[in-house]
Amino acid sequence: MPKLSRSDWYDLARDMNWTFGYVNEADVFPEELSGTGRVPPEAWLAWDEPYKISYREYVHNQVTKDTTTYSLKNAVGRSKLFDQLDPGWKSVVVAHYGAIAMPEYLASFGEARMGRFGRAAAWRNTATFGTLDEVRHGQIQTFFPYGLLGKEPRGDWALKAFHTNNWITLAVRHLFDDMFVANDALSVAIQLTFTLETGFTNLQFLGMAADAIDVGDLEFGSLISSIQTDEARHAQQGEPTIKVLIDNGHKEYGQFLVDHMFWRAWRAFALLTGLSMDYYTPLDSRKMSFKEFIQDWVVKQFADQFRDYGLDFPWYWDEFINELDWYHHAIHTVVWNYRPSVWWNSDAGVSPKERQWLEEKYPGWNRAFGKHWDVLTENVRTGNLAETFPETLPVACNLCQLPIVRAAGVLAGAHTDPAPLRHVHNGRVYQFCSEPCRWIFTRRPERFAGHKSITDRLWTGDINPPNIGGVLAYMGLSEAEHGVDADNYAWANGKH
Amino acid sequence: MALLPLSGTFLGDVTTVGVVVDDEDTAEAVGQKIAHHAVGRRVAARTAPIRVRLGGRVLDPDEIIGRTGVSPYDHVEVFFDE
Amino acid sequence: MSDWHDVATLDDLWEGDVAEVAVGPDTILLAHLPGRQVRAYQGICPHSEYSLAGGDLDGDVLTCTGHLWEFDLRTGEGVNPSNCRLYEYPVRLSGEQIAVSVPTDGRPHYNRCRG
Ligand code: FES
Ligand SMILES: [Fe+2]
Repeated sequence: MPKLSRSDWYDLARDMNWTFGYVNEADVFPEELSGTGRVPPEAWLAWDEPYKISYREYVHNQVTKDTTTYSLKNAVGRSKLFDQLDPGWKSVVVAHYGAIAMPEYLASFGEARMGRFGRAAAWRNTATFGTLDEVRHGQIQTFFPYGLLGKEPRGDWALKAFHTNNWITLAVRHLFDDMFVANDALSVAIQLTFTLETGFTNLQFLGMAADAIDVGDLEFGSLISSIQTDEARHAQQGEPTIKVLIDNGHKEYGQFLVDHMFWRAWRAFALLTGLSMDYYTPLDSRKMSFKEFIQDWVVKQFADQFRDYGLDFPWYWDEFINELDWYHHAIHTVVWNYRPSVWWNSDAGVSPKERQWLEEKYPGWNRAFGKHWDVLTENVRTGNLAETFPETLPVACNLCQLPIVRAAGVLAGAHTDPAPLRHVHNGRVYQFCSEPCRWIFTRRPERFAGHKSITDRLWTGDINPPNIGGVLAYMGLSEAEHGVDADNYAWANGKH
Repeated sequence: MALLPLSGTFLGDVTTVGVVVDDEDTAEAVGQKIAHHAVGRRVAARTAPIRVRLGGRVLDPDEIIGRTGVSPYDHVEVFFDE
Repeated sequence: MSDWHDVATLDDLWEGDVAEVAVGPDTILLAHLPGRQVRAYQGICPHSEYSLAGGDLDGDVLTCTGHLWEFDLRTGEGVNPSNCRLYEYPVRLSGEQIAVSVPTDGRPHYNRCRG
């Protein structure tokens, strides 16, 4: 029997569409789950994914990837490689697993929702592979840290973090619930695959894999690049979706979804990648600063995407660009100060040499941020460690759930007033770190209003006793799990 | 005597902190309670007096916070007066 | 304007082989296809910048190791995805000598495709 080539049968097999006779369109694709109703069903037939794959090819590729990655893990697991890694890098890895392993698994819900409620057969087909991808990513990223348990017990935060009320978890969970767990298929395509994956994580995973290899972490490097290869494929759902939406006259709605999620993705990136790139990764292995990475990769990529689809830059673009200079530095100072409250060891990353690098990459860093570290350094040197730990919580933003650091914005010349932005909804006061966070909230308040930030929980008596001990217990951290300074304060004594 | 949750920023600090004060506290005491989380920790200590600004107005140190028109979750700015 | 550069000989590049050469800032993929056909394309994958010379050539079709995108090296057209073509440089064969013409316009000579 002659073997048909993929292109001979692919479209026919993929496009399983029929006209409903016994049920209504709205029953098959309820708007809350599908979100595609703005565009008539026939128009969705134009949806086409650029890179095609058959199920047989998919399985073959995935088996090959898993075999390669798992055998590398086995080989590395028998070696002393992990012990020899830089402590700051270990923090990158442990932070990553806790913050990302479960969301990857949860992303399979979003993919599965597209796989069922996407309005084009081609889309549902691509999303089915995406579902399998995300299940794989959830599993592989809990299995790898499981292998680290003998060396780093907090590897189990890959599984544990999302079952706690840790403040980082609150932020990450709020974001991903919004982005894919509680989102319709259309919005998942635009917000997860177009905005987050194509725009940010695809690029970040490439960079992170390269950094991992550079610091000698072969296991993490091969894991990350193996994940990235899947993501590059399923992320392509975003572009055909936004194209269909725009071609059918709904640019404004697409723009809204992009603007909403770009800002949220930026906030999460500043937290996770900003700290990793500019403070935790050892100086010798830093190829570029976080700001350079965002400018050269993310901004460029979005500029192309916006141009190709006739989208505008989000209305807050100037504020975003301005924040590249200061926002993540402020978050870093807070995270280090609250180091017992996170499941990884914060790397201060401010030895004299590192401070020099920071000043070079971010002129004015010393004036705006160095001053805080001078006080912290002095307290470490004089043995006054108690003062380097917090006794209350920062005020968290009611949208991004991260500390409100407008005060640092004042130091950086970006803001004139440190006060949190406010909004009153049904008699409750909500506080925000920024205009975009407030805007996201007020556009759809019913989506967010029921949530309490970590500070709300302290204020309203959910956290008992209402002191830092109560806070740490509430966050699910046993004493052995509290993060400590990654370098045992060597940086404060001028060594690194 | 009632608990009053406030957000407060000590000028020069990186972040805004959540505190719970007593509505019978003087502005001076409120300033000290917020300064406690910043001064000597991330903001260098100085000998200058500490003042509180609420809604654009600098409070008299002896003013009772509960009688300033403050509401729960309001923001106060705290700073060295020099 | 463009300049011709001798980059390799047929002794270096057997039929069925691909190789990467550099001319100034340009990274170039050379391919020797069945029937004494030599082609030159951008050496860096238009997708995520893996080196194409590390890919597998099967007949005329090269599969990039990065994410398994496929390109027809006879034409430079993308096979999968089909909407992404490689930048092509003119090639001249004189005897065994392979020469490639590189534009001197100071611009990058590669296409980029998202995915
Ligand atoms: S880099 Fe070549 S296929 Fe992705
Ligand atoms: Fe925010």
